[in-house]
Amino acid sequence: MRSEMKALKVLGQPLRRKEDLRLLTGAGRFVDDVKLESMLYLATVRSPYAHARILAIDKSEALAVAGVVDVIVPGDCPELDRPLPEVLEPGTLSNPYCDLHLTNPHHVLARGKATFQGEPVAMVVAESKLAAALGAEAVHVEYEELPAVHSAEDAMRPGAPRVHDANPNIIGHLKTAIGDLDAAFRKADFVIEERLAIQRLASMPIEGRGIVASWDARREEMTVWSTDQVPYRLRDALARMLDIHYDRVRIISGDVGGAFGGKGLIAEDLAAAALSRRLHRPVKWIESRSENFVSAHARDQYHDVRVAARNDGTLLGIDLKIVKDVGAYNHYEMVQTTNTVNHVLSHYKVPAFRAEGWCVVTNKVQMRPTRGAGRPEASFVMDRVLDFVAARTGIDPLEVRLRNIIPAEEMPYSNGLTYRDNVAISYDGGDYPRMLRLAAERLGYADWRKRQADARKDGRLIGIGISSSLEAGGVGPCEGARITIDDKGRVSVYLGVNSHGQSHETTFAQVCAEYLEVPYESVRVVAGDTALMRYGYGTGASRVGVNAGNAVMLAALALKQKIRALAAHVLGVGEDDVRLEAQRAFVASDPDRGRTFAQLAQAARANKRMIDLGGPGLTATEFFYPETVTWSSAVHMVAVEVDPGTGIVGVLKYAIVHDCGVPMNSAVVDGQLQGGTVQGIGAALGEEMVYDVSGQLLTGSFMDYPMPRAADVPPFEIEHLVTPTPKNPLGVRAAGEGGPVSPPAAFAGAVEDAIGKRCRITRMPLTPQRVFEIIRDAK
Amino acid sequence: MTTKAVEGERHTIQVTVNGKRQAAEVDSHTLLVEFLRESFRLTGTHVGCDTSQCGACVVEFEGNSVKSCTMLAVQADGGRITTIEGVGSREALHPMQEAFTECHALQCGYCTPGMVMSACDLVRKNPSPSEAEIRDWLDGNLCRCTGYNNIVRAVSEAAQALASGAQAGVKSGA
Ligand code: FES
Ligand code: FES
Repeated sequence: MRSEMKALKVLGQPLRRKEDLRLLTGAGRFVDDVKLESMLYLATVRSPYAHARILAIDKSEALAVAGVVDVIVPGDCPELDRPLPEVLEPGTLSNPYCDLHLTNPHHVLARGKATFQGEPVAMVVAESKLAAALGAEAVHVEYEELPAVHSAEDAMRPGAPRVHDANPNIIGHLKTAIGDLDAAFRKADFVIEERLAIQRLASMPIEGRGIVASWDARREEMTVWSTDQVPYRLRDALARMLDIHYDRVRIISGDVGGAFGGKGLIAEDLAAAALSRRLHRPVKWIESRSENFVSAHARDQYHDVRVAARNDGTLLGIDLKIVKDVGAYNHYEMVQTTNTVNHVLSHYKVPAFRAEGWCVVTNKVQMRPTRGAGRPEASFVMDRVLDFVAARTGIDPLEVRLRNIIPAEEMPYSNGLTYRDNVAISYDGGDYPRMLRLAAERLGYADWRKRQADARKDGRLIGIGISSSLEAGGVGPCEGARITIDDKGRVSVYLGVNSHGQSHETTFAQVCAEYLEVPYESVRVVAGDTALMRYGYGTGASRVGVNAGNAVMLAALALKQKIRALAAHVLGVGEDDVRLEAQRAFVASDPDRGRTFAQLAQAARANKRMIDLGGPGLTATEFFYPETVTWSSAVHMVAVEVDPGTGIVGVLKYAIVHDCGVPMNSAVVDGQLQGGTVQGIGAALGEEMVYDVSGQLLTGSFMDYPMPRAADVPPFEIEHLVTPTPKNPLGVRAAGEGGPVSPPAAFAGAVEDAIGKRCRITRMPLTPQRVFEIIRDAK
Repeated sequence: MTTKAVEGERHTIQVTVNGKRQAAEVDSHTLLVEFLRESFRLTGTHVGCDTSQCGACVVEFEGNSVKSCTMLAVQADGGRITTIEGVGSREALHPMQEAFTECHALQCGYCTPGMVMSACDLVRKNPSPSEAEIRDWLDGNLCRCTGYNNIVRAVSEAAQALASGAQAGVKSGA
């Protein structure tokens, strides 16, 4: 499979990004930049209550607002009288662990009762954005407030009110086990039990969601501009709703201002398309930041963990019970909890492990994945466990890790678990002990231990935290790439995946330049339009680099083969006599006899040799289907100082060792790592969606939801290791999640270590107030 | 708010946008950012929030960076405005833009115009800012993709390039 491995010329280089010229000069094209003739604007009326019966909706005053074209309530628009599609349709589960998955129909507009604050209740279309907003304010809804279910514990209490009348509050269950857990607990020198919680937070890209839907009544076709991360899913959903062939729906997603897991199909997408067809006018909806705060959240999972260990610091067994609060609706089956189960053992050997998980509905905003999707929870559990074992045994936390870590000689390592694609998990290379030692070296671990002891004498609180992570990425089913060469020798690469900052135009041009052996400058990557490729499976789950990257490589190799065959025919020699170099095919024994790629592209238009080369034109399309996922790994180490007076956590040093296989562009990989790490720091030190007991969101703006700012970010000591994976021809692994996964666990360890006094940090985030309380309670 | 607010009062204002003097009709409640995006189709100025906190909408007004979502269009009457479209062009990037691409200081690019506009204002006022001053100055500009360090490095490199006489379109030599 790796026959093409060679010294790389273009791939991996930190080349300047092709998308930058456009984005730096204000010439990007985001959905809000789309303005069409006679366009209407959509606004949503949202429930102010977390849980309330809808007794009546009066739209008369709204209809009287100047500029309002229509007001839609349930029953007004038959296309909208259907639930939003599930990301994984029930009955098509591949999840090896999940044995219960109930789906509560999630209607575009609330039916009978609202189940979270912010749920769409009615929609208004108007001639202007302002008229739509004023119309929405003039819709009068009569509610009868119901008691809200505000936490997972609350939801599981006997006699708790039901979020959805038709189903119990527990809507998902999974379990799995490896090894003999009972024996592990019998043999244990000690047992640790704790509840560990990761908070509710959100992806929070700087651009919100948006859609422009434009129905062409003459051609009976729908064109949509969207921020969706999975445009083909939106295409298929709209085609189903409109009951037309999916080829009649075209989704364009030009520039998208970040997504991180949160930008998927929502109610307004269906509404805008349905209303555009009804009214024969384009309909635009742009989410405000306030709406974004109540549209989709992430994480919110707690873990009851029991650990059996020995006095020498080795782990014998882990018994894990997981509860995830999915809010009012869940469209992702138990994917994220499954990810937690499959990443929790991390870089370590655990002979016996049992996991059981529940998904629970509450009267809060629906759950979506965000960067890491279950993995930060996993690392938080494992690293907390290792730190507790260190505290209990008196062995240094670094040493405890080295005593449990998987040795490099045991790669590829199987831990007995099964990935959610139903393939047995096998870590495909990497040297975890080396990564850990290297991170310690880059941090100056031994030195910080000395400084910590010295600082203690002066009453200063310094601590070190360690976290390791894994990232199974590159999940299938597949991606495709089409490469064409025109008769000037220019190269286009077409993809079925869109980009929201991942630098696809740059990295995939590098793959193409490398394997088609053409200049980087001559390659243009075209994507973000479902008219280009028949299928695509979305930019998320760190899957695109592996899937699309390898598809581009395969297409480049296929195209070279086609060029060789055509050149042989044109030059009248055998294919083995043709050499390709500098965008030219020539006879090996007579290099002057040859044709440029441009000339061959011209010839390929009508030459009959193309009959069995796939038809006219120098073009090749290939799809890459991975066997299963590939595993990236990272180690984060942080030294912090905690201010006992304020509870503020300051970073003294932050080191990261990261291995995502062959990088496509080292600067892009570094950027993914740094940006992700800062998102993780936000999760560790401040970000949290806080609700009161009546289900009202208390953190609904950037004022209350503290995302990291420039001054909050430390410099990072980064070491990139390159262990190519044998699982795909390019040798690439996923690069999106080595950053965000570890910071919560690393900061928890560091702050606990700084405070000392046997305090235990068990939940995130570590806001100054919470740290202050921990210090106070530890006294 | 009552429904009558739709009929805001109309005003004619004179503004110089990216060096071009023009007159325009605006409603009294139109925000400067809406005015720039809708009336002039200068869509490089972005909107990332509704509480004046993200900085995606920063433009230069009368020599100062301002959040254009926080000003009414009528308040700009008689003033000079520069948006990202007036800073440099694809053919001739401003040294700040040059430094951003060189330092990989953008990913999705949504925060980028506001970042560049804020950063340009900083180096106009403080030609050799320290790292801490840069971080402090960018407090009103949120970026969710990059983690900021490359942005800070870009601003610092652009300041050095500008100090050594770089102009738009002339490579900083970085
Ligand atoms: S749009 Fe966020 S500050 Fe102006
Ligand atoms: S580059 Fe995406 S928000 Fe800054």
